[in-house]
Amino acid sequence: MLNIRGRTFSRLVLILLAGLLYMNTVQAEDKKIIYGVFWTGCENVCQALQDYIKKENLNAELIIRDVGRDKSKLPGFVKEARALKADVVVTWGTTTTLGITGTLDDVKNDRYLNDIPVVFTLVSDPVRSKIIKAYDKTGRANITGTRNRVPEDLNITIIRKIKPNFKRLGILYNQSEKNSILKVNEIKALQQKLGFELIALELDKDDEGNPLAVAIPLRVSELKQQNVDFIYLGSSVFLEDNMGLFTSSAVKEGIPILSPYETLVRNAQAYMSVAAREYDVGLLAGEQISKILVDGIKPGDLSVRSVDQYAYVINMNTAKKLKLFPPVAIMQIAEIVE
Amino acid sequence: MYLLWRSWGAFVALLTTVLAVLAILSVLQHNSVLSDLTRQRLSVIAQSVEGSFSTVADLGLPLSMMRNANDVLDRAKALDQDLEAIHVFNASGIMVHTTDETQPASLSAENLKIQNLSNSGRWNSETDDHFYSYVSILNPEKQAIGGTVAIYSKQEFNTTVNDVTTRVLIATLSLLCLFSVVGLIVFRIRLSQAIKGSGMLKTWFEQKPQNSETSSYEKYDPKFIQLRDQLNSADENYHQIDEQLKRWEDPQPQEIHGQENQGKVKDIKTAPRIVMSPMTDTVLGRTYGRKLLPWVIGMILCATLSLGLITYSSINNSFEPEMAKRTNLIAQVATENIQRGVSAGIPLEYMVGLDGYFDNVLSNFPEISFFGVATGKFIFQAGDWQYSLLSTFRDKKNVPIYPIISNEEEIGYIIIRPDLTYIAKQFREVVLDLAVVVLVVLLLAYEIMIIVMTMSLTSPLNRLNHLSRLQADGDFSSGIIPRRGNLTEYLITRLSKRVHLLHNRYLSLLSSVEKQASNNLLKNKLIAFAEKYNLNSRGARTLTYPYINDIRLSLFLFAAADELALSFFPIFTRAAENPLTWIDPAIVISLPIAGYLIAYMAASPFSRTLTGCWGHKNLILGALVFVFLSNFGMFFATNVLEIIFWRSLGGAGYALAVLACQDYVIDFEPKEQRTKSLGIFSTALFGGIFSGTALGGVIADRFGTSTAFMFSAFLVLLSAALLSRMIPKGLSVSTEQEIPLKLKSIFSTLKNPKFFAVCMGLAVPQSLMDQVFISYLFSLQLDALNASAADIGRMLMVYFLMIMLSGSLLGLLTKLKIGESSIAVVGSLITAVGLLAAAALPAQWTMLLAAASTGFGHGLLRGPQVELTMKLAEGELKHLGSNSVLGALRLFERGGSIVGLLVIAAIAGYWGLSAAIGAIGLLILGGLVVFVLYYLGANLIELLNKRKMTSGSET
Repeated sequence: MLNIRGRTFSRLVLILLAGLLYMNTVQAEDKKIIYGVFWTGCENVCQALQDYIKKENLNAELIIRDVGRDKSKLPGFVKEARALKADVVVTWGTTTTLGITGTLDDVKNDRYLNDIPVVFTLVSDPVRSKIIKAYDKTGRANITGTRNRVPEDLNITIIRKIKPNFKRLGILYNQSEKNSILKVNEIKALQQKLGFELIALELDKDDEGNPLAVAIPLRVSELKQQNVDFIYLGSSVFLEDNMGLFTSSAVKEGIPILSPYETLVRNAQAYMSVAAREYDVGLLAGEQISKILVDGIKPGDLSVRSVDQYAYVINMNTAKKLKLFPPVAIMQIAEIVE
Repeated sequence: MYLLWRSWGAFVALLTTVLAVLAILSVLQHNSVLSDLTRQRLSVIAQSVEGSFSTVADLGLPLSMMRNANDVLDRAKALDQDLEAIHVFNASGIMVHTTDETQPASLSAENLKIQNLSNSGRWNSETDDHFYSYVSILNPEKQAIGGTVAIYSKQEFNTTVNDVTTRVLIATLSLLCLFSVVGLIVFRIRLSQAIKGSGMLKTWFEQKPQNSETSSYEKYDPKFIQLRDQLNSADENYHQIDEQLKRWEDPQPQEIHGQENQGKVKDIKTAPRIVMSPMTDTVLGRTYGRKLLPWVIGMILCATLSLGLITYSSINNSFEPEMAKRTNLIAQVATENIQRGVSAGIPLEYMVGLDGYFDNVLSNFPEISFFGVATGKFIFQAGDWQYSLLSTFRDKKNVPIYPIISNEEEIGYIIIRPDLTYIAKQFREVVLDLAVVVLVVLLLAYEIMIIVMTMSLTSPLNRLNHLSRLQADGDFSSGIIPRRGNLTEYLITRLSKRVHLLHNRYLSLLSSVEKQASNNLLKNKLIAFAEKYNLNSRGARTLTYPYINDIRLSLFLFAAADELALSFFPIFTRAAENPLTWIDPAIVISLPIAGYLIAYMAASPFSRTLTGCWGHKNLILGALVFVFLSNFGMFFATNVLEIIFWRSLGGAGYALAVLACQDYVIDFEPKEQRTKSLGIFSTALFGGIFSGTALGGVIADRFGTSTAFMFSAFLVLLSAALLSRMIPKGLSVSTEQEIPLKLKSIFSTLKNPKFFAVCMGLAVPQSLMDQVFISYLFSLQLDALNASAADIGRMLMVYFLMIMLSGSLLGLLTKLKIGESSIAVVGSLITAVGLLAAAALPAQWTMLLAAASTGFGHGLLRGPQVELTMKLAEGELKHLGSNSVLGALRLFERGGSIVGLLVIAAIAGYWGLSAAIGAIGLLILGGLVVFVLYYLGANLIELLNKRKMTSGSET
């Protein structure tokens, strides 16, 4: 009797073990690969993505690749993503995204990813950059993304609220960043409609054509000489990388900076930003990835989603230095940082 | 003593009704004011949130995208501990930010609709537990992109309301007890003669009427002695008839004395014959009416005013602290907003945008006249500093100071000045509204009092007096339908029974005599005897006393019911579903009113014919069924088409009911009293209109518009119940054959110059004034002159009050033998002068003058124009019949006002409102010229012709 019972028990244990082994194998087989290509390592977007995967218990692994501000690395990342059979690729910024996905003209070009789903983030103007056709329908089967910038006329409106007699807007741009040039063109187009003059200065370059950080104070000074009332960051990873020098130069010249990136206000001396948190962008990218991996929706069928929470952030130290204080009405809604 | 108890009982019932109505209305009025003030306070918070989000909207960001929205809401919520939640919703009504996640996720469809319809972008509502204050958030293009709602607990409000209700209830009961006792004492004194007199009647009745000794009653009121003598004479006459009939009835003599043993007499069935008799105002009734009326009026007035004062004190107690709380809250919000900048490190001197911010606050909160930010001296100020004699420094007393703190030190302060003129104006408006409520109650009290006095005192005495006088004069032709009651009613019953008994005996005798062919002599004697005592071979007549008092309270009630919705009707229509999307919304709102007017006009010409067919009572009751259904239907109405249908039905019913009541006056009041009675009719009608207009707003505010319609339906039912009880049975228009209404006859009336003069010279211009000036131009012009809606409403009430006043004066004027045509000329002239003054000097005071003069003139004219028409209908135009003549008057005056409306609207469009008002004034003057030329001219020609004929016959 005992013998029979012992045998039955052994069989049951074996069956259970086999089942667990099978499930483990299936899980291991099903674990998705998210291949993240970030301009400066795992910053806010990347961290938010990691948190999202953890919080939502996604059966996925985030492989982080750092461009290290060197866009020549990008073709290598394309190859690696293919080799790893990544289920989805996340990109950070316009330059990175262009290097990974190419433009609408590159849909049949093997140098770019047209076969693996891509979710782009922090691309200032994906339509003008020709990464996608439109926000609601990207026009590319494997690409969707996120938006995190307010319309540029809103930035001009808020400048005017702070400086009612605002006339001249200064901008520094990086010729080697497509997004930077596109942004200058976009703002130029608003001049007549919104009644201001744009003074756009190109950043100085070294012999290899790379922008020179040391020349930033000179160009800011030049903007001052041209009587600009406000400087707008526009879109430039280079300036973002050199935020300390850029913003302190502006404060020194007595010019406030309006930034589309909150970090320049919180971590440097930009006067104000109207922006979403990059962390929120990462969470939104996580939602887009989840729709692709879990719900099985094709990226081309997903519209580019916008972050739904923006904030007016004012650096009060900068305001005090510039003796430029926001109006009472703006103070009611602004987030203040010292 | 029955007279005392009956009169006093009626007085107590009246006092109870009046005080109960006033107590209810006072509490409602108080609640309305307090609710309004609380909601105004709540709107400060809603507006402060709206102010923050407007900045977001101004900058072009969607409301949902404000990341620190919850901080803004939390700061606002901290302003008042009773604030339960604040939400921000987007254009679709979806709550995008909230302090309470348990609240509904979206705004109700009804509120979204109200938001779309709201011109000011601010509205509020309340439930049993909460107040809601809504403010729209507009984008720079002034389109609503969402809104904010602040939700406030009603706990504090409910506690205050309960306290006030208890206070008013105790006051009401105390006043009721006090004035009941005072009333008993006053009645005892004022009716002492009547009490003695009725005691004497009782003694006389109990001691058997054979006792005809009169000398022993000299201590009594001679009018009672006269009544007793009449009863004695009636008794004597009765006995004589009885004796004579007894002789003829032999060999079967009837024992009839006292026992009225009609059982032994063969009961002869005859067709009931009901005859109308004018209510003769006998000396007895008039004397005691006059003795009591001033005292009753005085006591009711004292009780009403006392309760009004108690409510005033309650409202005052609620008003001042609430206004102070609101002002304080506004200052608190402003201080906090500035403090936020200061706390962030902005020096007060560098504060940017204060002028725009404070200008905005001043325009949103008119009760604030001045804002100042000071650090010992003003560094910023906005508005008017109204107190030049006062120092601006904080050490002065009574200056509200709100400190601004930086690093735990006071670095400055905000000074806020309430606009005392505005607050006084607000309070005056509240007091005026309460005064209107008291006035409404007094009007209602007056109407009820007249009925109560008539039913309890004057009417029984008048009827007894009339019947006893007839019998004392040997006229036994008529009895009266008995009523239950006291000695007076018993005596009436007894006199009436005798009439029927004598008729039965006479008819029985006549029948038996007629069977004996040989007994012609006896038959002739019997007939001669019957003729002497007015015994009729067709049986006894029953007298009824139709009187204007039968209808006046009902008229008052259903007129009030009809006008109850006037103040909120356009808002009610605008809030309903609108399937007529292809029509301009402004026109859609006017469609129910247009339907009402068209139905009124269409029904008017038929009222007289229908009265002839169905009788006054049936027509009024039938018409009231329409009015009831109209209000009942409106309670359930949800879309504009239903509202148009029910309102039009109500218009037809109301027209028929009002005109049938007017016909009641015309047909049953003695001709010599007709102008006076038409004045009373106008007073009751416009008293009802005034009361309905005044109360509609309060009822709708406290219970909602649907409930207001149900209340209207209830008033109509009450009115119908009173009518069916008050109007005597068996009334008919006239014994004459009425000529039916014909279209041809209607137009033939215009051939008569006098009718033409009355119709085109008086009726049409006056109707035009009423329908176009009062209903259309009046509010538009006052709005253009910056009068508030409340002021416009009150000025309109002046118009109604003046109609009542001049309507009451008509009696006096006719007593002074002033002819109807002269009164009409004066009325027209006063109306025209008022209108021309308002046109020449457009100002609020001239408009008030115009309201008063047009009301006074209209009240003077209404009665005489109908009276003049009736005289024509009974004289020169008799061949057309009164149906056609009155029908023509009503058709032309309504039709004229519609045509006039279009013409005047065109004038207003081309030359402005003042020109349109002037045009109506000139039209009335022109009408007056037509009237003078045609009517008085025709009279002059008649007079000359008569003289010619007289001189011709003399020669």
